[in-house]
Amino acid sequence: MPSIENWILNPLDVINRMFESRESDTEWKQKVDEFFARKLQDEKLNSLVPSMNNEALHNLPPNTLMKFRCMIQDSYEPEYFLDTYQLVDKSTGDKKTGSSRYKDVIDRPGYDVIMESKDNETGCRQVVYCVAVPGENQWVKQVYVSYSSRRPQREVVTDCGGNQMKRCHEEAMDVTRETPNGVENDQNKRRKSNNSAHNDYLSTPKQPPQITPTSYPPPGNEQTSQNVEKHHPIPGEDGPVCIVKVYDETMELKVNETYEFTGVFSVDPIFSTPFDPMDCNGVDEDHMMELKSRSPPSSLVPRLHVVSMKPLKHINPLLPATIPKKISEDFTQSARYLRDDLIEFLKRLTFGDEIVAQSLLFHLLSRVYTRTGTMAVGKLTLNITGIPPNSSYPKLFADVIANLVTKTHYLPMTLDNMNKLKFTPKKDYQKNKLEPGFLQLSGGTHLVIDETQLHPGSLDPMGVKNVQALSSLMTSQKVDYDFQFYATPFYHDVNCVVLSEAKSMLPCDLQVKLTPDTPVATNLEEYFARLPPSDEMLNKLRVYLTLGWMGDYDMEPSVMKQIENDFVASRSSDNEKMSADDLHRLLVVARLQSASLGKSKLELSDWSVVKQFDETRKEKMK
Amino acid sequence: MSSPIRGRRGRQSNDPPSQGSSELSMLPATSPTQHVGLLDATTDSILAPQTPANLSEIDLSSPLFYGTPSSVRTPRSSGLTPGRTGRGTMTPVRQRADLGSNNRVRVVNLNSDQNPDQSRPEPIPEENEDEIPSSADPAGQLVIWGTDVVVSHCKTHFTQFINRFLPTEEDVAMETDGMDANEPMYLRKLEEISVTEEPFFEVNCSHLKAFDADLYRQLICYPQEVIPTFDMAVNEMFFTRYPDISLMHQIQVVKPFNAERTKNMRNLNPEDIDQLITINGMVIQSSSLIPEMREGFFRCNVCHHEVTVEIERGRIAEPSICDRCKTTHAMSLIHNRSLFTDRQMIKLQEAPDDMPAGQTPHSVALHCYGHLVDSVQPGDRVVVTGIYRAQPLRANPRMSNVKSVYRTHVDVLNFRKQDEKRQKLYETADDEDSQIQLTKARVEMIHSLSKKPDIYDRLAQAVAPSVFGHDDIKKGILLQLFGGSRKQLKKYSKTGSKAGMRAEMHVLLCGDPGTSKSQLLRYVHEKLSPRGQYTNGKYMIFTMCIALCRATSAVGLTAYITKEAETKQLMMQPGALVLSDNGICCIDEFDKMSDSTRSILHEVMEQQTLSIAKAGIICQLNARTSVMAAANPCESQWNPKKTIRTVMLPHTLLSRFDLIFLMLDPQDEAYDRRLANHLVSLYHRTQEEEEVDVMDADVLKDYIAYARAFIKPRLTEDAGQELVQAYVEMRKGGGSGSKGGVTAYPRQLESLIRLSEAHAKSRLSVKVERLDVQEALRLYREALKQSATDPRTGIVDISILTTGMSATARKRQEELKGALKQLIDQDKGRGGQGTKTGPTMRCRSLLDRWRSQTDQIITQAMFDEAVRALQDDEVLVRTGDVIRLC
Repeated sequence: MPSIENWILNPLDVINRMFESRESDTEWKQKVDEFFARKLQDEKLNSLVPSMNNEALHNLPPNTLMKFRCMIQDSYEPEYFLDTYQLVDKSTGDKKTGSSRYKDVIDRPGYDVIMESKDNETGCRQVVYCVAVPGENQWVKQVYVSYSSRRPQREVVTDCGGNQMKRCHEEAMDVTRETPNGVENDQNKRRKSNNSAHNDYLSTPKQPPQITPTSYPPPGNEQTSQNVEKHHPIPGEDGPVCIVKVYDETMELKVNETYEFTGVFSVDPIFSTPFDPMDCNGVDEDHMMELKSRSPPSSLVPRLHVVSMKPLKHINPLLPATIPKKISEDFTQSARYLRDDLIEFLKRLTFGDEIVAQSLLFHLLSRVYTRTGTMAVGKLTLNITGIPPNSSYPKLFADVIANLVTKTHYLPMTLDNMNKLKFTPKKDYQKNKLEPGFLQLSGGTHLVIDETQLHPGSLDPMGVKNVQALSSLMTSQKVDYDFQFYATPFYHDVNCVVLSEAKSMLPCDLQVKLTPDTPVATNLEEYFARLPPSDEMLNKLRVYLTLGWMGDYDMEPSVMKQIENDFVASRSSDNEKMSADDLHRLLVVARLQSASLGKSKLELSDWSVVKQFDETRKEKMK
Repeated sequence: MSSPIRGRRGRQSNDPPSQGSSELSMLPATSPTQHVGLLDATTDSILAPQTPANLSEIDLSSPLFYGTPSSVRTPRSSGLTPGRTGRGTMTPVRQRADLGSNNRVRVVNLNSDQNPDQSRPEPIPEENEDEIPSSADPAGQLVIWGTDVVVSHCKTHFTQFINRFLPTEEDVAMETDGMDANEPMYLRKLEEISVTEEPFFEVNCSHLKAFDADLYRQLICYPQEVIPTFDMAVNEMFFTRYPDISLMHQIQVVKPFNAERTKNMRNLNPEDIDQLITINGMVIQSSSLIPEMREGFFRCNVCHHEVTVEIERGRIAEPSICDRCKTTHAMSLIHNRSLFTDRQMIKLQEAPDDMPAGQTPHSVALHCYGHLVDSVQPGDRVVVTGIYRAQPLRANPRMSNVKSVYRTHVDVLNFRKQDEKRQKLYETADDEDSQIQLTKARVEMIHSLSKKPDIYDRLAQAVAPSVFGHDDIKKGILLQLFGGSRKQLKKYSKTGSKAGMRAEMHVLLCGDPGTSKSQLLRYVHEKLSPRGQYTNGKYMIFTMCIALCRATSAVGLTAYITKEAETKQLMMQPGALVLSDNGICCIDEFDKMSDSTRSILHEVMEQQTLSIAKAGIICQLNARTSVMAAANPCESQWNPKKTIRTVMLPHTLLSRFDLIFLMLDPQDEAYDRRLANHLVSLYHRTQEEEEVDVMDADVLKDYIAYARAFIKPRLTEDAGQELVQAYVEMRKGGGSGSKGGVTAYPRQLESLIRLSEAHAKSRLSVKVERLDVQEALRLYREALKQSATDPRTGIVDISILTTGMSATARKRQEELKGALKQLIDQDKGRGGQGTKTGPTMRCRSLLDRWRSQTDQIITQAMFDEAVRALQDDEVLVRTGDVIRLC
């Protein structure tokens, strides 16, 4: 049985051993899968595996086991490779077989590969291009880092495959060293990100965020070429990217979904000469472009050969990937108290405006839970009006939201941004690559749109397209990806909240007007710096929001009947008739109301609360 | 069978010495009889030397000599029976580039080896050559190495196939130029070749499968070996039958298509390597033409000895030593004596319909050769039949590491354009509509659906099922989607575009906000417009227009953000958008368009053309677009007293809509209850059960596409009568009250005709019958009832639409005018303040006097209106408060 270090530091050894002792072609593959699945099931062992998200790329030793939390940005054609092949010893002429599963290259010094042997077997693996989850908030990253800093091996990363004995020894000592080290690392990171003009999200309790209302990275030239190459949907974001190779052909890997892949990390200089000139005979220039973009240097884009993967329904580090029953049961119990806490907190954000705070809560919990026809059922796009122009409020607001949920992005809707940013992904046929657009976001991302930044002016063709894309996202949670010859709809689940002075030009489901109860602080920055609750409280709220967001939902026939009756009754009375749209909205809000209380079934009491809420809201709008 | 890359190819490289001159090879070549000397005589054509081919049966009977390399290396070619030259064909043999250059066939004789098992470690090589019999007896045992293909069997079977295969019923139905079901269809094809002299012979693999499943299996599994055999068989048959015909080159026989392995690109896997596959997709990129050397021509600088060298695995090995004078490094390449083929690399991408949701499309590289080069363009949807290949990325000799990855491509044997096929089938279809392709099963389903008595209602229900109620509106939309028949008026047809009457229908929905207008539009826009239609620049017209148009282009699309000073609300002023020919243009917030942009629609909607003045040139483009628009009432609430005028649209534009629907919230409890039930169930997770009855959007889309393309209904006598009667009635009915009142116009009659035709299409009927007209009338009245009911009388009045004023209102205006005239005349009679220029009077006093004289209530507005009317009649001139009589 290989030791822990071995299967993490030298997974290929383990794999090789299984290959050597194989009984049949398929059997050993299964064994590999099972082996790693078993290991990784164990929470403790799993946390030992280093994560690509936490480390700089150059610190990661090749050919070790690595985790990567990411979103699939593009899927490539499946790749054919030599699954098993025959080798011949250059000196003796002895033949043996090898496998290049979980490897990019065949590295057998002293041997020649017989490419043509009939015992060679071609395998097929799925290839996807992954980027770190776009819009992932700083606190999420920090918590993940803190998890891995508890991991004893963290010092080992530079010491690839070192002496086993010494390693064990070090481990013991590490325990004492690790904590300060980890913290220091975090601070380093924080400092780094603060310095970078690109980062908007930093709003930890300790450090007030920098206020740069239009701090959106200027598109165009100033974007580093590296970033372009890395294909991050959000310009300015700089997380790791990776080409992930999946051996399970039955897995359906979908673009924009989030996964945690665990696999053999591979960087090989062979990729910096991505193709050898001999291959390119007769290959025209277009094709070269494609080859280049398909195999970028591994120093920028490493490869990961997956041994185990799991789809991530959420990326909240405070919760396990699959929610155990107990947690959801506890949640049902504690939800109503947490709800009150959250409302209190949000009320401070809205200067005491309860309706806005409630709407915001509903908004944060909403998600598309089913689709019928062109309708995305369950989404609740929010429009908060009454924000004075040229205020730093929207940005500060976005920061607070970012501190509560896992994925957010703040979009100042300036004319410049609208005209220059690329919103929809577009297929580049020269490179054979899907160029990401700003709206290529994974499910559950919150988009804070700051319409107060928009001033009268002209939109160019790109701008018009962008506005259209944005409104299509908001009405039907759908973005048409541009494949040049045609557009293909991709379905999203991105929660949008629009902050505007008057009614937004974008279509929103729920419109509320911010009317402060308490006097608005003159120095907003200062006010907001004091806003966040204790870390403990914050974590509770974060868990609450994730669980509430994920909740299932159903309606009892009796409640349905009652709602129908209500509707009919309201329509027969003359004034304030309920329209079909009103009913739509109320039904969504009703679901969210019951979700906010940790319930999965709508109760009649919630329905009346919701009706009351909507009436007050309408009253306020007048 | 999971031997992915078969070793055959590779082994050649491992035993290079065995490739002597006697090797049995399948190398592509020029003529088998071509001597070096002859080549000199035919310098005029290098690519296809016009050498007498002297094709002999002996020669052709062996695949080993089909397309063999030049005779220098083929000793047998010199031993041809001269007697056979009597055929005297001038058809040169031309290599098949598409099968690749590295196809060397090894034959295993089963007589000498009883075990033809593929696991044999080494092939039995060349010794068999001389044993190859010219007739089919012992050759039965000759097997191509690595396969179970017995050459002669294969050939005989294929000959049988050609001789005996009778077309299926389906084929007969498909072919337009009367095919005889009792005549072997492939013999007929040979005959066609003899007439057209196009040396390509297409074979439908499904036919082959039906005829001889084993042969088919061999074709699929070993295309590289089997196709040349087929080639031979066909050539042999052809030249026996038509000995005097000379073709450009010998029949490049088999262009197979429709292999059963028709695959989604996504399903390709290593098992398909080196097999015959058929995939479909869309061409997205094609490279420029690459001339590829097939055969290098070398001449010794010393002794002028000439040698040709075949391409081998992508390379031409330069001979380092001259065979004759033994000088080393004296051979030099003569470019213009070498042979080249065209090669093109094409990128084929998965068709959008095949793409699973949420994934990006896959693509595959195609290599095509010879006549296939440039036969497809980017944007074409094609079905490709070819051989799937995988090439290892070659190891770089300087590196110890080897990349273990293959590159794959398809060597194309045949392209079929998807719409090309269909066009052939149905001549009647308009070429622009021909983007659809439906499977036979689908067409059958559509036909069986059309037989159902309630098909019309079913179809209507399938339109936007998530929108509740509004059945008539859905029917209207459905008919719009079907459209009428395009009519060409013969006498104008020479003069061009104004020739016909439009077939497209326009529908306007207006009503209170929040009555699912936008939902209906969005549904039509997203679900019912054809997916993935290639928007060809040729058909695109840019016009200043509105939001929510399908098919947008980046050209000239601009908009302005403006801020309303009062509400501080930001608005996006609509900019330019695109109308596509033969499409549906969905326009939301029609009323918000500026007048100038709207005016463009006038032409588009009636003439179906668009004039653009640019750089001093006015051009008129076809814009056969149906407009589907939604408008809100200007007071944001429908005013039943003002009828259609609530929507602030010029009546000139309104009258262009065939159907104007009013979407109001009905005041009905039963309706409310059903609506509530419907909406609530949308939010209820288990809602699938109730929707089973509704037709799928895709079926609806196909049904419409099919009907649009193939059904061109014509009016029957009966229906014509009905229409005439209805029209006459309409004219009578509306004008009954007032003299000279305008009622229905020819435009309305046209609308009715279109509606009837569309209804006939919904039944897939080519005849417009009485019942179609009745439904059209009913729907038309229904729409009118909603939008054009005169609020004062409760009578449906078409003139509201045409003049923006109802007939009663017009009559009333007449009366007022008369009364005022009378009043003024009275004044004149009294003398007034008569001067030479005519009497003048003050408005105010006139109005007061009028009011005192009549018991009617005369408002200022009514007065103004009457004065204006009189001014129009040139009775008086009004300047400010003063009226001067003329």
